[in-house]
Amino acid sequence: MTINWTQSQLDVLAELLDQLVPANPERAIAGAGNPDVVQFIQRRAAQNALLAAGINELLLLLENSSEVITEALIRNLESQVPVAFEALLRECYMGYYSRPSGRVPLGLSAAATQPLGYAVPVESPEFIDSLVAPVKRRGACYRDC
Amino acid sequence: MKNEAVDVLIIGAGASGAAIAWSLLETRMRIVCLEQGHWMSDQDFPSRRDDYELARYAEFSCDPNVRQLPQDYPINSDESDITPVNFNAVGGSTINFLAHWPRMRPSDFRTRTLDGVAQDWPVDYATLEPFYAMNDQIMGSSGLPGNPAYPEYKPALPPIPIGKLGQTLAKGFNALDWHWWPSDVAILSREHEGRAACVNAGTCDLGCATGAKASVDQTYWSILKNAGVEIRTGSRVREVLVDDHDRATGVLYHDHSGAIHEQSAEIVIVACNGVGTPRLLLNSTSKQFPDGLANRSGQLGKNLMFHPLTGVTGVFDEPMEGFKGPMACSIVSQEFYESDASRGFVSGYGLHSGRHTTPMTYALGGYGIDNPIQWGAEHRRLMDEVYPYCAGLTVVTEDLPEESNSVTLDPNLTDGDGIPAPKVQYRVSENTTAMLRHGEARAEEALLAAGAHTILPSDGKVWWRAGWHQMGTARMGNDPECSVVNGWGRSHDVKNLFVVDGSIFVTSGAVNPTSTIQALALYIGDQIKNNIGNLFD
Repeated sequence: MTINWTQSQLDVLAELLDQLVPANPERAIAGAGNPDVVQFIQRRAAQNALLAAGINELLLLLENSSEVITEALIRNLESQVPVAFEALLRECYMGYYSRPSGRVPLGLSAAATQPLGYAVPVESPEFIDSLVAPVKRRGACYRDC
Repeated sequence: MKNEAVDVLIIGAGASGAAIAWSLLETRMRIVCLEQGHWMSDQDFPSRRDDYELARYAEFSCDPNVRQLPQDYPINSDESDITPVNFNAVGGSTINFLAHWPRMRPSDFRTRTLDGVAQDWPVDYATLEPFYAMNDQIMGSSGLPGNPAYPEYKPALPPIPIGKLGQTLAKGFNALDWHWWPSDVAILSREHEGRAACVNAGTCDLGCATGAKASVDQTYWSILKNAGVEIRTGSRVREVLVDDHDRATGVLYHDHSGAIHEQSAEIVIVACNGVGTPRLLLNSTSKQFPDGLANRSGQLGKNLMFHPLTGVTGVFDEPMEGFKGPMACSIVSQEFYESDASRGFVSGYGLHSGRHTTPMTYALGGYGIDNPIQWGAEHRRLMDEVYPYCAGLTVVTEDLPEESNSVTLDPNLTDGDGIPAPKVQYRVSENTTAMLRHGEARAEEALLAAGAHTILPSDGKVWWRAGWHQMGTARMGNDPECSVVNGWGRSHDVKNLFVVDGSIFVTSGAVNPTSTIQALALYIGDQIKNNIGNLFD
C-alpha cells in the first residue's frame, strides 16, 4: 500500500507529533515532529491499513479546523476519535524512541545493546557480604518441612 | 506418512522437554523431539539492531496473539484477567524469558498441611534438591550462597552485579530490617562451558546474542544435538494416539507444509507447558477418552495458575541506571513469602526488583502493560525528569488453584493447521487481590525507605501481558480421582504417557517456575530410569 500524504498533510502531522512529544530546547532534544519519526509513521501506515485510515481521519479533522494545533485541540481529537488517536500516539512513541538519538539523552547507548552491552562494576564479595549481613543476622526465615 | 517407530517421543523443545531428553540420554533409547518452532540464530536477535525495542511489539512480542507467526497458535483470553505469553522455537520460552531463577521453598510443597489450602505435592523440596543442583550446573546459574530464606545450597557461579539500583533498594530493605537477597539468575556472571558472561545489555526478552542467558538451545540442546537426539522443527502435533488398551501409540503431527505424519513411540512425553499441554490432550479424543486424553479425573485444563503481578515505582534523586543489567533480576525480598494469618490472606508474595525498562517500553506503559504514558509537556517531563531516576518493585503473588480458572478448547478459533486453539478463563481471586494490595503498600514502604522522594501513581491492576508462568492444568497427585499425573509425571490413565512441564504443578509458589519445572523434568527422567523394568505396570 502506498501512502500519498501531501506536503501540507505531512507538515500537519509533524506539527501534531511535535505536540505529542515536544522538544526540550534547554537540552537540545528534538521533538517527535522530526523527519525520521514522520517517515517511520509513513512506513508503518503503508503496512497497516487500519492505522493509515485512522491517521487520515485525524489529519482531515486537523485540516478542517481553522485553529492552530494547540493542546486543547489535540485533547478534543483524543476524545473525538480515541482509537485512531491512541494508535497514532503508540506509533509516535515507537518511532521516536526507536531512533538512537531518542535514547541517548536518557542515558542509554546509541548502539544496539548486543553484543556490547553496558559496563556495570562487579561488587566485591566484601561489599556484598556487608550489605547482606543484617539479613543473615536474622537467621533462617523459611518453614522447614 | 508414517515414520519409523522410536523409543521416546518428546513434544516440545523448551525448558522441560530438553531437560528430560538429557536425563534419558544414558538409556541409549532412540529419542525424537517434535517442535513447532525453529532454531533461532543469535545473529537474528533484535538485540543486535539499533531499533531493537520495536521487536518487543512485533515478531519478538511475548504474546503469540501479537506475534502471529506461523509456528504460533492463537489463545482466546477474552475471559481472562491475564493473557498467557510464550515463545515457540527450539528453546521454547527460554528464548525470551528473563531468567530469574529462584527455587520454590520447602513450604510451597506442603500448603495443605501447613496452611490448610490446595493440596500437598507428592514430592517435596528435599527430593527435588539434587535435581535443582544438577540443573543449576547445566544451565549455569549465578547467585550468592547463604540465603536464609532457603535450606543451604550453592548456585553454580557467583552473583551478577546488583548495580546501583539493587544497592539502593537493598539499603531500604535493611533499614526496615526485612529479608532481601541478590537474585539467583540463569545468566552467567562469568564464562561457563564455552558461553560468555553477561554484558548487561538489559534486553533479555529480545534474545541473548552473547549466550549468557541460559536459553535451553544454548545449554541442553547443544549437548543433545551432539549426542544424536533428533529434533524435528516446524512440527506441530495434532493429537496423541491411543490404542484399545489405553496405551499411547504415538502422535499425528503436521510438518511446516501442513502435511500430516504419524510418529509411533513406546513412550510419549508432553512438554508444552500449562496452556499447550492441556490443549493437546483435550484435542486428543478417542472412544476411551471422549473428554481428552488422560482426563478420566476431569481435572485436565482446570486449576490454571499464573503469578499475578503488579508494580510500584519510586523516583530517586540520582539516576538509577536501571536499563543496565539483566532485565528482571537484581534483588528479591521474601519478607512476606510465608503465610501469616494476621495479614488477612493465605500464602504470600515476593518483592522483586527488576531493573528498569527501556524508553519506548516505559513510554508505552511498561513491560506487559498497554497503557501509554501522557503526551505533551507532561511526557517530556516524565521522560527527562522521572524515567532516569526510577526504581521499581514488582509484587509477585502465589496463585492458589481454582477449578474455574481453566484452559478449554475454543469452539471457533484454530491455528494455521486447523487445530482448535485454547481458550483461557481466569479471574484473579479475592485472596490474591488482598495479597497484591498488601504487597503494593509494602513495596511503597521499601522504596521510601530506600530514599525515593516520590511514589508514582498506579492503577493497581494486574499486568495483562504477564501470563509467563502457566501451571496446574495437568496436576500431579497420588489420587487418580483428583489429579492427572502421578508423583513422577506419569498419566494415571495412560501408563506410557508422561507430562513434565509447568502443568503438573500442584501449587504455584510465588517464584518464577522454570528452575522447578526443569528439576521436576530431571526427577521424572530419573524415575523413568529407575522404573524402566516395570514402567508400564
